[in-house]
Amino acid sequence: MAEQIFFYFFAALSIVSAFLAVTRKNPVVSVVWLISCMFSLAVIYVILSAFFLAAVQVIVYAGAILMLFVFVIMMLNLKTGMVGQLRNLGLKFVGLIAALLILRQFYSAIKGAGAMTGLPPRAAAGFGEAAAVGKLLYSQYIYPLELMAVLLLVAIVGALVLAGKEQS
Amino acid sequence: MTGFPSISWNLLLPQIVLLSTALFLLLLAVIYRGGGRSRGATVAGAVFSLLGLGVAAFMALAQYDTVADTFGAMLRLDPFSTFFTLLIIGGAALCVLLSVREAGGLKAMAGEYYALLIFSVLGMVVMVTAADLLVIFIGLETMSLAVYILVGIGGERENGAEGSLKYFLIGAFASAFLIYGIALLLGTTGTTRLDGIASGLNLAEGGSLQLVAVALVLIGFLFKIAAVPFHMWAPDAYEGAPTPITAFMAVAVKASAFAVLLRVLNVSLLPLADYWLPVMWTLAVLTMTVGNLAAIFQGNIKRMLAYSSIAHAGYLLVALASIDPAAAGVGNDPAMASVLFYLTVYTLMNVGAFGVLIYLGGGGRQMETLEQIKGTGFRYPLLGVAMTVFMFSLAGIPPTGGFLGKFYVFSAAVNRGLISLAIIGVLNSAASAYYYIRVTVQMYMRQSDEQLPGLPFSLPLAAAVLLALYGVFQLGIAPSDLLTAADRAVLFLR
Amino acid sequence: MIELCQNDILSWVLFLPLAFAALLAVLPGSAKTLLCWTAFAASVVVFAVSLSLWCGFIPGEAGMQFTIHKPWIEQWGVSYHLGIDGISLLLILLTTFLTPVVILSTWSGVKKNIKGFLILLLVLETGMLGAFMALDLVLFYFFWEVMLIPMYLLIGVWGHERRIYAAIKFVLYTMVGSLLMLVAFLYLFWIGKESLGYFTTDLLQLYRVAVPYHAQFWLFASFALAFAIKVPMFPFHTWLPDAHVEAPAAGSVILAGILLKMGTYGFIRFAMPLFPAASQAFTPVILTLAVIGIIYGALVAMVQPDLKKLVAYSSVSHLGFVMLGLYTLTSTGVTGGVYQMLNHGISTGALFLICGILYERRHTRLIDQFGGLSSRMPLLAVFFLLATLSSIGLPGLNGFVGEFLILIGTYGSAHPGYVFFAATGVILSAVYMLWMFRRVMFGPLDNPQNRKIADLSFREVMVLLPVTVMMFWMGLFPGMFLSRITPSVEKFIDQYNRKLELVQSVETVKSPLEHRVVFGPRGGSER
Repeated sequence: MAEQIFFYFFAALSIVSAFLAVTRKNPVVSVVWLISCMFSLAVIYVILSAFFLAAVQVIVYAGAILMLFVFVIMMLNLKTGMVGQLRNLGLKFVGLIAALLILRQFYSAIKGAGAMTGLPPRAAAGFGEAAAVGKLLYSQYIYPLELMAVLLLVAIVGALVLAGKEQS
Repeated sequence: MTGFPSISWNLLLPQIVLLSTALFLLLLAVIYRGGGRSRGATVAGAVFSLLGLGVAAFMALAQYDTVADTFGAMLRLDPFSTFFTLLIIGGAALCVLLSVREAGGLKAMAGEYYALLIFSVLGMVVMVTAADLLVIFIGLETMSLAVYILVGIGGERENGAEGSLKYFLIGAFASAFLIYGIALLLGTTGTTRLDGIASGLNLAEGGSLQLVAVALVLIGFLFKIAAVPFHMWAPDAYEGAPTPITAFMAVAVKASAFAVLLRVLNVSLLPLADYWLPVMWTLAVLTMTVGNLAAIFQGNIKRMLAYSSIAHAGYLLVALASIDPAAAGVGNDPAMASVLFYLTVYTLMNVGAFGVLIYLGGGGRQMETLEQIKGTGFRYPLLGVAMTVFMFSLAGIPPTGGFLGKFYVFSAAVNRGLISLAIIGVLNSAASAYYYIRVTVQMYMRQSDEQLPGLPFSLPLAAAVLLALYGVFQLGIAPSDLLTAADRAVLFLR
Repeated sequence: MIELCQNDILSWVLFLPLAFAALLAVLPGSAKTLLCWTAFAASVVVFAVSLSLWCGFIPGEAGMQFTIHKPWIEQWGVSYHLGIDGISLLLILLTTFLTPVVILSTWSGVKKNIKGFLILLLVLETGMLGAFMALDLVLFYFFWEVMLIPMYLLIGVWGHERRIYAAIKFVLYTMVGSLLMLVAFLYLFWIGKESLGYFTTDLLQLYRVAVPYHAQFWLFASFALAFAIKVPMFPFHTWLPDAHVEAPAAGSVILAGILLKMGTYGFIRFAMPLFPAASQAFTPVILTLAVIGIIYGALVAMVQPDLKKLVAYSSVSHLGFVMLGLYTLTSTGVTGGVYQMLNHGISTGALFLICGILYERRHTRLIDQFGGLSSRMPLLAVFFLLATLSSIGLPGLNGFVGEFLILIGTYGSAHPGYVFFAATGVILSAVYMLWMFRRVMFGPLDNPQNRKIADLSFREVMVLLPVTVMMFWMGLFPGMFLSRITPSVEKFIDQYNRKLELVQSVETVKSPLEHRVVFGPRGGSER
């Protein structure tokens, strides 16, 4: 019962935060709402016994990436309202149509899945903990994991290349 | 479930070679005394890249007949993946040849430039070899990230940064679609394995959520092949990129994306053929028509070729719309084989056309617009002839490979009774003849306003153009070997 | 050894020009005399080799001779299949005959890049010969399109003021037609596969396929469109005056002399025998368009101030005659039609050569800029008069034989009424040709620029002489040509009629194909 209350509370919070993040005119405020959204998601992960994922969510998204956002916004000194210039009516209209289409599809999808009764069954002990995830990553998913290393290397090289000054 | 997967290392050899080459190239600037931007470094980078690509191609060729899984079926080596591995490596090697002269004037150091190129080739090889959507995604990201950067390093080009940013933003968007789709597929079918998805698809139970998932995955790939309406990034990125990278994007990126699309459609999504075949039909018509119409109005040849590559994606979508689920299930579908043939021809003629453009620009005078190439045909006779051949091949006129490619694709469409699609295709082809021919008009039938400078000879460029020329004629006159290879590749696509 | 050579002789004739073109490509571009002589010698060699076709040809035999059949793209059932019958034999000889004449005529007319010009002419020759020899549809299409590129460059690079417009128009018109034909080819192969049980693109095997009528209709329509553009038949002729006027003299000669015959040849070799039932249904349309072409071409020619445009429109008129002849479907009429193809090649070729000679001297094509030239250029006047009379169809010259056979054939056919219009065309052609001749050659020599004009040089006489000899030869001894044409024509008509009956009898059985052609998007397989 307590879990259920937690779930509904944080699910609602994440939706509201996401909505506010998109609609606020001041970019700093948007980012703060985004952090709140990420946190609520992390809580939902915990409810689903995905502890490792929840931790990663907090560290990477709410921590590192969003701090970076705030930092960039401060550096660029974006004023309130500048974001608004980027939007135009046509784009909004197209976005609205697309959003409605996706909503409609999701509605029928969820409706098709049948009524939810209570919480999903509890996962096996140890599921979603760092050890279990790590075992999986370093055995079955070793190949994608190694590839991720290459991907990160490419990203680093790319950042260096793009940021590098041209030699005179 | 968590047991360590058995690994056949020899299946990984091409990838290992590519990775080592890229890592070695990163060190080139450190090793090389003359500095990372010197001519020596540029040449050395090209030589080592070619060496690495050559060894990788040799490794792939040695396993041509192998059909095997490894890493718990995350990778699948079969003639299909080998075909595309070789095609991508070949296209990349030609682009390396095109780069030798250009790479000196870029923002990046030569080693970094070539390393990024090889990294993206590695990503592509992973993509075409993968049998798991997760691996496909990571391969695609590796490829894309490297290419985003390569687009943006165009030296003093002012529109390079814009093209790169646009490409990156839209590409990131596409990746989001793709990963969302993969997540939904995992949720509804319980797996990301391509063959597992096919058996997990169940519309009665999974409902329309599975359709959403499939649509999202397909959109992710359609972005990469620049199908209309997911093509907006292509013209800017193509125009802003250094010309060898434009060629690389036009051929290798497109080829690998089509390879993945073919594999996913054939291995995972055949049960849903009734849903995606009409979509492909519509996209093919849109892509051909929009690409060709827009290309007619371009004054910049690189931009024109960008739209032309969109149009060619449209012709390839005609083949996808002509897939026969019954025939594809047993690996005997001419529509699929036609994609392989067409992509090979397309690689050669595009690399050739870009190569001629780069060569023309070697005289210290920019040669990118229709105005600028006036009168070059008689001034540089060999380049003129080569460009004419590539343009006619792109337009699909015999005796070039471009003709047989179109012939194959449209015959697949007619075989399936899609006469109207074939008619729309050939009418588009006729419209495209107009802008391809205009290039030859400018080169041969108009006079230049000023004295055209002599062009310095460049061995790598000449080699690339001649190879492409040879290939275009070879495939136009004696295509049998490639046809056999394409048929065989498709046979094992399960 | 000789026999071996005999077997491959078509390949030799076909690829010799290409080999010589490659030879020219390595010669230095500045050595103009060397280039010209090499190209001329090359084309004469090709003509000489092609004459052995004439000698080795068995006149009484109607089928394909000198056939070569080798696999080419086995996966698609495409073969390298060459062969000639009486009809293609003469068209091939016309091609190899006109090419040296044309090359000789360009020596002074082409000012820039003569090397490229000569190479393109030889490549073009290979393309044309290939199209006449091919007995495989893909091979035919291959050569059909190969012809396009050199002709486009000849017009666009060496043409006159509006050459680029004309060149692009030429290419686009031809491409639209031929690409639709390509789709029809693909559809036909597929019908062939359903009927024969295997995939083939071989013409002789596809002749055996009884194509269901509803399919024939569309297939014939798209074939006919491609060929009608090339002929050109009445509403599709608008590219022709532009192309002719803007092309250099040599280009016009090849265009009028040989390329236009591709269209009529396409009808007699492909469109009609493959789809006789649809062809039969289209007969009134085609006959009407043919006579409209005859009369319209003549009327428009009459009012042209431009010499080349006049000859161009006269081509529209003459090709209307050819189409009329082919669609009489009587032995006489079709033979006349084929003969008229050759005549038109010779006499219109000669007229365009003369236009070129005049243009070289005066740099104008306007008729009213000339006048009274006969006193200054007596030699030219003789050749010009003969070409004019041959074009009109004066008895004793070649044009008469063809037109006469067509008129007789039409009278004896199922549609005798068209004779009236055709005869009107003959009269009109006499009017505009003779009037043109009078305005150019007679009258007062009032334009001062014409006073100093020089008569024909020895080279120019050598250009016009062989053509003129052929006019007399074909006019006085038509028998030796007709004896080779007639058996093939009779076989064509016989085949046509037999297939017509076959299709009509098959048509009662409902075809399974009807349900498979889908217009529009659709999903999945039929289940």
